[in-house]
Amino acid sequence: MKYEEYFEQYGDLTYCNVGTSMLPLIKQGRDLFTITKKGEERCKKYDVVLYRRPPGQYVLHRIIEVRRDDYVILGDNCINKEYGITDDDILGVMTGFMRKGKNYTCENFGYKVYSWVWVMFAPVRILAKRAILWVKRHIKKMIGKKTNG
Amino acid sequence: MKLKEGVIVNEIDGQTFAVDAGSGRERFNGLVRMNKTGGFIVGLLQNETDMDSIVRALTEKYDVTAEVARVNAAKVIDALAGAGLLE
Repeated sequence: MKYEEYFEQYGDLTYCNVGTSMLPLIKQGRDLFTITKKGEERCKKYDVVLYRRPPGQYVLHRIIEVRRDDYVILGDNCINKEYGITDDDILGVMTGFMRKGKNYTCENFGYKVYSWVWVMFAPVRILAKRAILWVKRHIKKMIGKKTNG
Repeated sequence: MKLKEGVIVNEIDGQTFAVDAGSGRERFNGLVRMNKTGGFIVGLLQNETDMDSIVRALTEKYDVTAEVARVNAAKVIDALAGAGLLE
């Protein structure tokens, strides 16, 4: 069965993620999320959405900007924004999640604060992560040069 | 038989979900959605058990005959096994 068929049959989906892109909110092997099938209405900033990334990948990331024709999307633990995701690509919106064995809805005040803070400070987080990656890469290069030299 | 390690069980709005969250996967699978009785059976399968014990537990908890309990348990077990959620 495909995601689309599952949503058609049940209208919602409780499932798990693969990877680290939604850390620290959702951790692979520990947490579950519930997605409700998207309706006609447009998604909102801060919504976590399940969308199709051509050719056949399904991704769970957060909307950080709503534009006229598409959305700007970013995983909570990612540094590269994704552009060009349209309403047609989005299968559903996260309405709740189970974290460390406890269920939360996306109406939870603490979750809303987390979403707001996370999106607000995304530029700082991205800059810091890029700086750390840059330093790590240069340290590796230096070690490589010393070993070869 | 019992649930495989890494299977997470969650109950939302009276429905029970068993999801294999332990292993990364390429395809959409490893998920079983059940009603309350299915959730009860999944609860039993969190520890090592067998069909007879499950049937006994079902007849003690619900007002059903052993035959009906066995048919229902087999359905849930087949669904879980089919999704690769059982050891």
